[in-house]
Formats: sequence, structure tokens, C-alpha cells
Amino acid sequence: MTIYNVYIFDREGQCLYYDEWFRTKQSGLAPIQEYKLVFGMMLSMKSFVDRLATNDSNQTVNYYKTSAYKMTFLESATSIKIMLNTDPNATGIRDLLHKIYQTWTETANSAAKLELFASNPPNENFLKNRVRDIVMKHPAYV
Amino acid sequence: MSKAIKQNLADSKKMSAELFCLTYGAMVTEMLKDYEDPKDVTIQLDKMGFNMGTRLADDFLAKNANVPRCVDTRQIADVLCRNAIPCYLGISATASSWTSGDREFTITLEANPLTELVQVPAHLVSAGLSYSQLIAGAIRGALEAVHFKVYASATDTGANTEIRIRFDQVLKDSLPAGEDD
Repeated sequence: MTIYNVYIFDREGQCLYYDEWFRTKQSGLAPIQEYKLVFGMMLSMKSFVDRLATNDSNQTVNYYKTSAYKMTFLESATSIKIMLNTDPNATGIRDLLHKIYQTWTETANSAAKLELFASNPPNENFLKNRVRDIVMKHPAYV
Repeated sequence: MSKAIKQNLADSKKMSAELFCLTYGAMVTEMLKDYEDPKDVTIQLDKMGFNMGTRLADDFLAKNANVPRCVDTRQIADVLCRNAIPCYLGISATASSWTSGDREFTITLEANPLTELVQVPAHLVSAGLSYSQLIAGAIRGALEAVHFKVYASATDTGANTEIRIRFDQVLKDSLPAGEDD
């Protein structure tokens, strides 16, 4: 099993963090363009799913799956969105996403300015080390 | 910022209540000198609290994974009193005085750490200084981060601090400019 890549978006759709592990094929798009598309897809999927909902319960989109990979979503109540691409059979990904969220908040809150993350390239070293650490320890990695 | 400093910041999770109280007091005193009108100080404290609140919201959610999504103000008050306030101020709080169809309520902090060693001069209070407005601001900020727009104001009444919260509306996430859903 494998973990491919992860995106973290803020509520405005800015990509705050991106990292990849065993992603052998790139999308061929500029990174910014790719982030935009991924975020846009998530938004469209959410509104689509809301329209088709059969009742008023507060539903969430959890993941989508192809024969080759699975993209798991986590959206916090504060609208921070985390997306992780893994092998379709990977398990325990929700917990992993929650851990990434925890790490992200800890790091972001300890940074003097949250904007540090937005204005600098999203791959902030300290956060990167911590996220990598968590992901590599996860049983679905490798 | 160097890595070492960041590491330290990330690790410093607890701090002494007394130190916190004294630093806060010193800060408010300094602000009272800088802004001539105590009302402006209240506004600034509220803003500072708001900025803290927007970040605390994420921190709170990360630490409390099993807090349910709130659907009414009773639930919001319940989470605030039972989870959030004890978590960040180390004290318990109670919600009461529900009015205007559950849209307004008061949270009472029985041992507000901010006012523990503090006596706010009466003339400043009557001139519009709300010493604990920072907490009210933080609640407003945190709730706004989770899409609830509320108004919050703090009043210190002797031993207790009362925070009056008025629920305004549920905010919707705005779509990025130029994109329709």
C-alpha cells in the first residue's frame, strides 16, 4: 500500500501545504493550477452532493475512489480542507488525516503569523518534517 | 524564525496563570496610556481576542475530535462551557439567562484568571473599559471561525465575569471569486 500525496487548503482555497511521496506520474499542470482544480473539484462535489441529498442531515463528502487510488477528504468545522491520495485499499486514513490536521494547527498556531504559511511557498520546512514523520509512520505507507 | 524557537513555541503548552494575569494587566495598563479613551481599549482587546479566537478554534478542534457539530445555541453554549473554556482558562463556566428565543445567553465565569489579582478602578469601568473583553473577543473569533456570527461583550461583576453572547447568523463559506457552483 502507498500514500501518494497530500494537500491542505485554507477556507479561501489557497493551498497551504503540499507534499508527495510515491507519486510517479505528475499531472502535467503547473502546481498552482493543480491545487485550484483539486480545490474546485472538492467544492463542486460538495455542492453537487448537497443538491442531491435526500434529507437535510449535515452530510460530508468522505472520499472518492478509482481503481488506482483513493482521495480522502477531511474538512474541519473551520473549513480547513485536507485531501490525501492513497492506495484504494489503504485503511485508517481518517485518523491519519486528523493527525495531519492536528500537526498543522499546532505548527500554524505557533508561527508568529498564520500568513507566513500563505505568503511563503506552502512547503514550510518545519511542518514538512512533522507531516512526513506522521505519514511515514502510518501502516499504509510503503 | 529559527527552527529551535518554533520548536519551543510549539512545545510551550502550559503557562502559569499568575504570570498570564500579570502580563495581561501590564498590557491593559499600557494600552490605557496609549489610547486616551478606555472605550478604544475595549475595542482593541476585543480585536486581539478575536484574532486569538480564530486560531484557537482550529486548536480546539484538533484536540477535541469528538465534539459534535453544533446545531443550536444551546449546544454552542454547552460546548463552550464544558469543553472550550475549561480547556483554555482552566475554570468552569455556566450558561444562563436565555432570552429572545434562545438567541442570547450569558456565560458566567466564576474564577476568571484574568481578574484574579486585579481591581479595575470604577471610573475606568464607567468610562467604558471592559477588562475581560479579550475573552469575549476570543469567543466571538472562535465561533466565527466555525461559521457562527455572534456578538459578545464581557462585564466584570465583583468576583464573577459575565459574558453576554448574542447569536446573529450562520455564515456561509464564500466561493472563490469568479467561480460559480
